[in-house]
Amino acid sequence: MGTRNDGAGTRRAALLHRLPAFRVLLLFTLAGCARAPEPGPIQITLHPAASRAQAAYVSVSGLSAAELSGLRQRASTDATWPALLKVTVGEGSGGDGHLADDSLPAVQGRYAVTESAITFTPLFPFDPGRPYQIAFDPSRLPRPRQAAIVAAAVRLPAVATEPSTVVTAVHPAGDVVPENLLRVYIEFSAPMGNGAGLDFVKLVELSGPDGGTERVESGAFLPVEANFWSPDHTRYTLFFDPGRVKEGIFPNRQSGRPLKAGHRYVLDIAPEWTDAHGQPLLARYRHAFRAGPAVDEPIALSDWTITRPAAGTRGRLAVRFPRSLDHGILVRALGVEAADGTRIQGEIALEAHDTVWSLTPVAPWQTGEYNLVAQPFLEDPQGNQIGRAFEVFANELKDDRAPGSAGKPEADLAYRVRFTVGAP
Amino acid sequence: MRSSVKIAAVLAFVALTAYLPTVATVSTRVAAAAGPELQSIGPLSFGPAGVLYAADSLAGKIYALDLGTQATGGAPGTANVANITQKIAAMLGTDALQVNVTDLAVDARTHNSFVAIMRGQGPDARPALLRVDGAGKITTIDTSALQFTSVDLPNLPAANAQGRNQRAQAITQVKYANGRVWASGLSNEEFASKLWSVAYPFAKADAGTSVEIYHGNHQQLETRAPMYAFIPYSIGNEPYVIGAYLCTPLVKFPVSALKPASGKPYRGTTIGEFGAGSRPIDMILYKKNGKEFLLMANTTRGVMKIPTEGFGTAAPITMPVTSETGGVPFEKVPSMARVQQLDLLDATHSVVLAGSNAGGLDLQAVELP
Repeated sequence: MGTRNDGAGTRRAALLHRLPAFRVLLLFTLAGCARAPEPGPIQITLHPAASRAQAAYVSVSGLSAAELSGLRQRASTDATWPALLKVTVGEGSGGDGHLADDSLPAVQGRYAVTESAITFTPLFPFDPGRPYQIAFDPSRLPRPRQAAIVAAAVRLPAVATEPSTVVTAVHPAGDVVPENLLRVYIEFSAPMGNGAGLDFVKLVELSGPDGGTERVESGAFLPVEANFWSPDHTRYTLFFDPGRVKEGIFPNRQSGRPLKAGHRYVLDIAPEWTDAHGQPLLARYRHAFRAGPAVDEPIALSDWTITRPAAGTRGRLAVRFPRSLDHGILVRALGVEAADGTRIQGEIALEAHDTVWSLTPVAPWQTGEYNLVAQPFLEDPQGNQIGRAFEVFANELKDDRAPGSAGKPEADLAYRVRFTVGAP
Repeated sequence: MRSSVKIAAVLAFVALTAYLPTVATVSTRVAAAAGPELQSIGPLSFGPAGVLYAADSLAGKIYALDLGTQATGGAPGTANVANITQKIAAMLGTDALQVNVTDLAVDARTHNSFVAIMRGQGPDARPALLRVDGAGKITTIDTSALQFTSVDLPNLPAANAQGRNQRAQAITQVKYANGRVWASGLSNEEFASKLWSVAYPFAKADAGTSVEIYHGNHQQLETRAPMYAFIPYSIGNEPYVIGAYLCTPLVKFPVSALKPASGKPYRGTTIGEFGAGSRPIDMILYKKNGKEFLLMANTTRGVMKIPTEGFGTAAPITMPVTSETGGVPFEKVPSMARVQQLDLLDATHSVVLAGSNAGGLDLQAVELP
């Protein structure tokens, strides 16, 4: 990486002539250690990360063994290090050794002295593509050199320079969703940054004979910047404002539901939403759908149908629901147990817009009884749970098996539907 | 710049700390270790003897950190720092867009402020903790050197390990009161509200107590509104939790009713409604001119000052409120604008992180209203 010497070598030679004791010490050190470095031009180098354990670091070489030795006792986070070797964010101003913005503090990190150089490893890895200004001041060595500051601007290669991330799916994915929809998942092809969906997602109502008139429905979503990303940042959860979804309450009476049955909408996702590399999306995404009547009934297990596989096969067990259940929660809220409580391992799939859940077991089914196990936190995209609608009046609340009911671990509150597997 | 602790007081504190129990010694059930491997750092809160509780939402843990000597040595107090996010970004080797402030907490011993940061974007974001002292000096805390204990929050069961579990939780607040650490949170899947509590020193997490409330503005029984901010509070001699929910009811729960063994969901008492379209950020209690107040910062409705004298006797809201607000009286504090984080600095001042004209956040000591 870039290096400048500013004639330090000439001045150093002059300094050595003025300081005979220093020359003696230097000769002694050179004689005593064959590998000891000889002083040369100051060289600033950025070393890319060699492994996960060895992050990128900066080295300053060209120092004599005596100079390095004089620094070796200094603690790695000693407050005097930045005066000698200062790393700051930005390009700097280049040639004169002055930094672009001296008011900003130095990058924090650990200093070390190797056999041949001073090294600086930042507390957090250097950002790819970001310029850093490195300034080494020889006059701040334990035995000062009367030389100008040596400065260099360094940067690691940028990781991504072209937009490539796209929206891959929106759930619920069906053409019609209930007007009291509470939750939408937006899935991406690669990890996204930290930006919250509120800034980039719009609910657009379509009207006119060909749907050509567009009107943005403002205030449709929960006004929350909380982290609604999945752990890997490939899925974002968008909540409609429950204050508007629920009937009869103040925001609902004031503005109505964001979705109205019979109306057509587009969920418009702007390309300015940036991914984890700071790149915008490759393209705008528009998910068109229609709002249907509200679904405000609890999930009823009695409405489910189980297609049983045959014993001795690895046939797929399919459970059909009369309406879409929640795409995210389904994956972890349904399972199958053998009669002795052993969990059946296998591959889970969701089909037909989350109206079918299936399990293909790793091992063949045995003749006998099994239980389909539904956790009480299972919801549909409207927030309705098993035996309990999202909106419940006080006098209707009889069920004390709600998620998190005090006194029992939630796993013990699961619902179980028994079924038998017989011969083909 | 202001500093609120006299040097003599600091020296007295330094002398006392030698005799105070530390995290390492008071924890009889979970052994203290060094170097917590934080995946994220979220809400912060100080407990007795300078223990710093730090939530790690990604790992589903709450840490009790012993800051040791890294809590001391700075000038007492907290000085104003303009555009602190830019300065922190520079120290962490990046720009302000990569710095996401997750909380602010004041160490009552030194009145220094601690700022929790997530540095970077997406799944690669990493936690950082910094201290700001009475001279405005910002110091990174080397968390790998800290003694700590931790507790895992109870996770919802996954019925099938094969499914791709994309659930994440966000811990919205952590506080210590009466021998227990309390934490509120929400998830990116089920629209659930959880108020957990666990005895400290940590043994193992309770199963978690979920609290149901009447949302007076909503008429219906609001079973699953996320709680965003809360504060332990005593009415008479009885310990309570005062919680603030989305859009923004204020609800009180007697701690005695939140016992995990009670067997039934508990309904809190809604005593105030502060208007829709906002979420609470932080709450602090303070006294001024002999009266006690609750100061609450909100995302879109600014800072509100609420006298606490009516908390014990306020009529519960169970019927629809016909206007935006109702219940216990409050007044808005227009002088505290764009507040994103709030904590109590001392008897007369709060400390806030507020939107800066330069685009980042300013750290400011603000006189209590």
